Amino acid sequence: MANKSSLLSLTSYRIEVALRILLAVAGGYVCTVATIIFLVKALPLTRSDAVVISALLSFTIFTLAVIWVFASRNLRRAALGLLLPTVIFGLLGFIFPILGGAQ
Amino acid sequence: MLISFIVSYLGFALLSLSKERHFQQVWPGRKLTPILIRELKVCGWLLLGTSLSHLIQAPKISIGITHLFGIWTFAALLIVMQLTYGASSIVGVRIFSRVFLNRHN
Amino acid sequence: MKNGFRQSMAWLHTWTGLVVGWILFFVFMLGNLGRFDTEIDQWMRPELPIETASLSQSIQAAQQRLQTQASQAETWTIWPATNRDYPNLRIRWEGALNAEGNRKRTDETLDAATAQPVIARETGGGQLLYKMHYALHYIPRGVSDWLIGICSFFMLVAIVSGVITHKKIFADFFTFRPSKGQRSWMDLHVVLATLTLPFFLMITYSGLVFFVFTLFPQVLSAGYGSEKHARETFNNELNALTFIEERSGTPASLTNLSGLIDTVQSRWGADQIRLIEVTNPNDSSARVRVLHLLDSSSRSSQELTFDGVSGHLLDESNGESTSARGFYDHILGLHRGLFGDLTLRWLYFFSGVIGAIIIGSGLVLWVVKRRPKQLKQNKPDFGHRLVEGLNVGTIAGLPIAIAAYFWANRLVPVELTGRQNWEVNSLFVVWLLALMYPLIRPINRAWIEEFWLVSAAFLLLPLVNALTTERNFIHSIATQDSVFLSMDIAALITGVLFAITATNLSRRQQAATGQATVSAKGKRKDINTLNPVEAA
Repeated sequence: MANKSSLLSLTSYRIEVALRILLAVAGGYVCTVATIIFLVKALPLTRSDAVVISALLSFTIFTLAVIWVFASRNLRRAALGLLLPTVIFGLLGFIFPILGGAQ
Repeated sequence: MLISFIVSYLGFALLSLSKERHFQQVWPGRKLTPILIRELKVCGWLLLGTSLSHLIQAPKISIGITHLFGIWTFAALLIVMQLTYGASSIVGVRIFSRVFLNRHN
Repeated sequence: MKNGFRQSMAWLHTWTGLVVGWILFFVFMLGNLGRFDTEIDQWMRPELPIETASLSQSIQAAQQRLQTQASQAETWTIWPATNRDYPNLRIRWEGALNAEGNRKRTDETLDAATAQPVIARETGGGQLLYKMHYALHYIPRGVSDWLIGICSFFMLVAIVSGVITHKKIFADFFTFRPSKGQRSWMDLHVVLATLTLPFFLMITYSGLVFFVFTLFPQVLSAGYGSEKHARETFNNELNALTFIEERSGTPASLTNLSGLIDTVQSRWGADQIRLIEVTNPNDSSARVRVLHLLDSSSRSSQELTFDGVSGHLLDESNGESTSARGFYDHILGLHRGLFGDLTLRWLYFFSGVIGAIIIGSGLVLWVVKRRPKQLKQNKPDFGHRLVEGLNVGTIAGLPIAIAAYFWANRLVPVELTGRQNWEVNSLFVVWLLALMYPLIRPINRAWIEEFWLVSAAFLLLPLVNALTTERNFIHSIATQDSVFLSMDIAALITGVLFAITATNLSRRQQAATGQATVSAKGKRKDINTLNPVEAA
């Protein structure tokens, strides 16, 4: 019995780790992309400067996202924490040019 | 560059001595009092601060910063090596002991 | 996942570090050698003469050669020998942008006296070693950029999570406790990482920046759309290249380039030219840019722009730029470290060596930590064996492979076509053999034997050099040939250091087995024979 339940918990542990890795890599990437696209459009700089600054920040954002995913108490929190900025920045990045922001 | 290295080296030496473990390595049996800790720390940080003067004499500030990080790294590394393989070989220990220890004991 | 923030970070540090550790070890080792790529280049082409021609003579020769070879090229570039990175006169010409958005480039090393290409053995030299640290080998750039980019990103995550994990940064700042097994490995890993953290973080982050437009192409398309020349437009805007003139189509003969030197030297002093770039040569729109040697951590420097036909000075730039671009240039410049004098290069080199030691000790630590548990089982896990083997084959094996590259340079016949490939092949074949060696030997013996092999390979290198070229040790001293002398000495020191490591390791191992036979009970013996590295 004990053996079986520990095997079960090992499997669920492995599944959770796999899910977190997936979330960190894919979710973190998408979140970073949404944020930097927003930054390029929103930064009140010349086009090339905005691109450079956003590019430089990209890995910082990605790192923070990965740390977040692995530090969160549970998967739901981790996913929510990535989803929120992704959606917000994604929308803003889409709306910004229409509102006549930078560029 | 050499002067900055020596100054940083002495600074790190004092900072390491403000830790009980290394203090005992260098001066076994002596007592590390809170006042002494503060003195060692202040002097150590002052010396490290002095090594910032390297930035002024460097041809360009960006080169100065790069140098300084290198200098700090290797000065501290030298201290670590000496603490590990013969703490008494740290340069300046005798002067330090006169300045910091004799007044208190 | 795990209880507590620190525990999760420790887990993250361990596993991100492990999966990319070996590739990063390779990247660090070759990147380090790249600090002296020019010196290695010189050593690997012993036929090349030491440049003696004057600056104006060199530039004249370069112009003459380019005129006969590529009078209609889009750009010419001339690197006179004053450029530290090319000790001999070098030229390049580039054609127009082709359909794929690339330009065809041709490079030549010239003899300034005859204006003819110099003949030296075909070799990848130090440049290839340097190039492999970011582009690997045998695989296309598109793939390697992603690979190295991802690995570097893992490294960044490992660094950040490592810093979070290690809570006692200042308490343990100076502490190293040798001969205490796992404790010592941990101390070594932590002390070195703490001391070189600024360097380590800088080199990793700035290295990543080189790949940012590969990993995040969206950042470029967000600003420039997805047109084909977006990258080119961006570069031009970023570098504020206001002097890109369209070719006018009216032929006009190019001014005598060496005639511009007086103007340049009156501003900068003698021998300060990094390179000369001519756009649209032999056209009325020709422009000549002269760039100053790098003198700050930025990768740009002062430059002068001349009219290519009349030779009049058109523009003078001090190399300063907008803050964003300046920051970007400084980050990339800091990574390359090309601005530095010899002292700085050595600082970079040793910091990088420490970086490699940090990675190596981290990899060993993974094994050491798990060994007690493995020994309780009848057979160690496959994963455990794999990591052990990869550790030996990379940490000890890669130095052997690098030595093999140098050996091949001297031993592969000079006339052989494609010999350059054989040099590289020997590096990778030897590395592969070193990786497989732990399969047929007990892991502890494999460590010691491979370390001895590194030692022998480097100790014998000066001898191989002396037997295959005329520039041996004595000759180098007599002619004050600092490059060859330094290479010989560096090889000897490397050999001695590895010999010391090997002796230490086998002494500790003997002590351990001696102890085991005294205590004589099965499991105890197992632990010790398996643990030579742990004892170090």
